[in-house]
Amino acid sequence: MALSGLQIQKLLPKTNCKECGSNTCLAFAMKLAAKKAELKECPYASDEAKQVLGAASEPPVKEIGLGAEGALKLGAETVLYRHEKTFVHQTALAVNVNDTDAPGAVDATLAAIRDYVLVRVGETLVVDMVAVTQKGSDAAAFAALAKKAWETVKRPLVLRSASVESLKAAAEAVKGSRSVLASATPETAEALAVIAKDNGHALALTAPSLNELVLASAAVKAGGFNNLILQFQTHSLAEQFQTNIIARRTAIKDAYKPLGYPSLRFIEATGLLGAAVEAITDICKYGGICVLPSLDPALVSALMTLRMNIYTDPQKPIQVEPKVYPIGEPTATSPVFVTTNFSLTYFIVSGEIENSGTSAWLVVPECEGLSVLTAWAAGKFSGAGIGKFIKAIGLESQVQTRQIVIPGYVAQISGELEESLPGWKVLVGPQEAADLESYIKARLK
Amino acid sequence: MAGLCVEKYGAELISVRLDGTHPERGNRTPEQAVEVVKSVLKAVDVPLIVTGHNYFDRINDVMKAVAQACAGENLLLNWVEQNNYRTIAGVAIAYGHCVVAQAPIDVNIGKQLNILLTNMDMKQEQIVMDPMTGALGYGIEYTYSVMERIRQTGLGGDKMLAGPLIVAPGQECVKVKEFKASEKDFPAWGDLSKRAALWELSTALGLLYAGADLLIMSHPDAVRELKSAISKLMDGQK
Ligand code: SF4
Repeated sequence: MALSGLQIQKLLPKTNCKECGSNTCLAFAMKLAAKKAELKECPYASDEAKQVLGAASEPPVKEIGLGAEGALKLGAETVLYRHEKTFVHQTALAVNVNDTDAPGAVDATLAAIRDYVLVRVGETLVVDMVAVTQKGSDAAAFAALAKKAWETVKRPLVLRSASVESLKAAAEAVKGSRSVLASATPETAEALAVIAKDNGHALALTAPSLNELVLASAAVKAGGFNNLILQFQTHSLAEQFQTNIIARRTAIKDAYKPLGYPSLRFIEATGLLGAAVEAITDICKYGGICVLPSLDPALVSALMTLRMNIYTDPQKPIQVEPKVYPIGEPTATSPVFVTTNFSLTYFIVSGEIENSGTSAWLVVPECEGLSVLTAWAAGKFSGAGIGKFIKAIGLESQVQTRQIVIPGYVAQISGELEESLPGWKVLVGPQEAADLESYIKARLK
Repeated sequence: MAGLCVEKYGAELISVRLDGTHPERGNRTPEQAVEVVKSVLKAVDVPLIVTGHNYFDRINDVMKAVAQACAGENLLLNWVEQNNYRTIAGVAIAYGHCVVAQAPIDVNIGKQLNILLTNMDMKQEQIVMDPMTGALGYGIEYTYSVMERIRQTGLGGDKMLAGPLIVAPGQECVKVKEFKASEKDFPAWGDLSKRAALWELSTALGLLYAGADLLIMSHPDAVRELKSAISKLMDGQK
């Protein structure tokens, strides 16, 4: 829980020595409360102050790092709704292989996981983790498969087995991968925490009820191991939805540490759409690691897109790169349109041009990711600015077209744009992108 | 067609889109629109959403004619917006229908429009809010957050933001590339027929979680799975 300036001041030496750069300890405390300073700037801070402030600044959901460098991060969340601030670490998607699968099939799946790449709005997305499930009884075979998965894909694993022995063998085989051992029960938690700790892995805990789960997580933490993940046992979609929410709400609103960990879920639905429903629920509602039963690009691409949307920082307008975008297969005489680099605007406008069946050039100048009207009002979408951008990118040597369609909302910039682009004619397009198609049909064909 | 949607796919409402009355998309007359709406009313027992377009001059006449001819049917006239609400809201009040109040992904405009409508003596029970959405991957996150904020503000006691929310994942998804492009051109996108259903389902379920009460769908598999998810969420069954 965040502390107030006055609460922090009580922990400081109150000597007002100014070495921290503030005139008084209180002023420094206020800066700390506003996160505009760090405690280490005060050379006289007591150990108690360090400890209390350190605990208060820990996020209510613990951050867990997975993978060789710990680069795949989970948790660290501080809010329940994305508009309050932003979600910090997105749901990790994993794909499962079983030790009982035919060796050829396992190799093919591992290669497919390794090679799957989705490029979307300039981001390159890959499958985050591989889950290795023990269905057979041979601990050595399970460990060998884990090793193979790690060596082939080089992404952290979820090692799933009910047997402590098997998990131990696999944990040792992939030491250094910072994977997840899944899952300890209240009975096996103590033993598995030692194995996880010795091999540098995280430990997933599970129990039949939330009550038993929090007792287990508190006990493991008290035993000195805190690299935990929670696997909720739920038996319906409603229960999945409710449990995810109850756990996260309690962790954040009540600062309840035993539930302040990322979650792990194995998708159990059989059909593709049923699996999608469970995975979508996890992505929208605080899921940590979501394990898919198989790699279906149609499912994975939809889930990755949803995840990207939900986890986008709502305070930062998303932008596309300022440049000239070809829509369809434009030639030197294709029509030229201009819009802003707010990605939603860009996607809608380019989609509508595409729908019209016309190939065109879409000029997208730098407008700080604002929509047309906002960008214009802020002076980022002016006639002079657009003209300058078109000259700078050399569009005039790329196309022979000397007509440019501007959004209807900024009809007032047409004079200025014509002035800054001698030889060009400015056409005022529709206000709404939805009308572009009919505009193109009526005016440009 | 409407009968099939209800009987086979379990639609609880039918949206009749009067797109053909747009001057550039068929230029059909208000009388023709009335005929279509009446024939659907006759074919199914579920309530109708009558969906228009943004050619205001025409759609106002069309909605007027439909509202009048179907007086008392309690249609959901889709839509009115800040720049065009008087005519349609007026006929909704006069002939006993509801309206969709559309606001462009903006909590304040949504509230303002509800105030304008209730000032015209429209009852709050007659208003469904459309926060406007794009498809998955096309700005759905803005709508998602606007819906969560509307719902939380409504639950917090703001009556002008306490109405039900309508979205149209079907109409949005059919516009996007992910609904059309082949796996050959985009291998990472996977099989087109599966992807189309998944795209619409992901759009719809995401918006359901953000607070949607009415969802206008188009893909039969997405409808079926969404309905099943809703009933599982409501009764807690597996
Ligand atoms: S350095 Fe520490 S003791 Fe000195 S004024 Fe700053 S907070 Fe107070």
